[in-house]
Amino acid sequence: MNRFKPPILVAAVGAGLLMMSQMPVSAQQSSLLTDGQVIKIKSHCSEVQATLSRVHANDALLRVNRGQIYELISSKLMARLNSRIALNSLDSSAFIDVSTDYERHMKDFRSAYQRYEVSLSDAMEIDCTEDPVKFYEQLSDARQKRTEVFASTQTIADDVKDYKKVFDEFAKSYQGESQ
Amino acid sequence: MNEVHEEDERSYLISRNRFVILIIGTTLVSLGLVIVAMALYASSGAAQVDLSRPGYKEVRSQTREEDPSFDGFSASGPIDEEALAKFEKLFEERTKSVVETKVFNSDVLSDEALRINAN
Repeated sequence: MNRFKPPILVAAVGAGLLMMSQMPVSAQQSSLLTDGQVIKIKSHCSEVQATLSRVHANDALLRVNRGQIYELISSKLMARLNSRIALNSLDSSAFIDVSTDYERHMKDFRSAYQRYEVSLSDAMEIDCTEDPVKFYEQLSDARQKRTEVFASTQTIADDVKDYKKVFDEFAKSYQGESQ
Repeated sequence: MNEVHEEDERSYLISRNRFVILIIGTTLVSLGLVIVAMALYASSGAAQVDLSRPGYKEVRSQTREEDPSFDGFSASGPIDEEALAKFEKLFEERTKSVVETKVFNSDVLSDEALRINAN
């Protein structure tokens, strides 16, 4: 029996250490928040949740409206011009390159918004009076993801400007040839 | 002998309760299909643009209506000065908001905006 004591002891200590490493280090994480902030979150919880709910709804509206514009630009303008240029046996490769980037960045926008919306919804589901630290962490995550959505919209705006540049060069060279 | 007896008993139970088994079976299949549909709904991104969800009631009426008279640029026809001028006009009109207006850039989720800042 004595032969098994040390290995059992070692195993028990190891298991204990492993369990402790998995426990949330709330003391460490709450250092991101001051005591004052924790109190504010707890006392203003319902107001904060109401604000998040409004932001959630307004951002959804923004997503839908902006998404419609992006789709319209892609399907009713870019794709059609590309097709018309190709049908006239002219070089549309530059247009296609920018259009391809635009489509890819539209997908990135949709994905980025999806991740942001899920993160914000998760924050809204946390009871901030009971767990203000977890709430704040989730809110910080949603904040970061919203920044990523903004970045994706800026990339799409750059693609639109690039497409316009390509068009201007094409129009210039067409006018030069036709004169 | 016992196995044959058990087999017979099982067959008897099944034939006796066919209707109940049918109901349970169809319910389970329906539940499974609903779970698959909901998983697709969530993962495809449709949930994010579905303004019929309860939390979006206030903003439902504010969606941008697509202009029915707008046909876009025609995909067929010659490439001439008139066509290029028309495209340029349409493109500038429709991309103005995309280029000039920044969205999702405000600090609506900041500590200050939510009034949970340290000060």
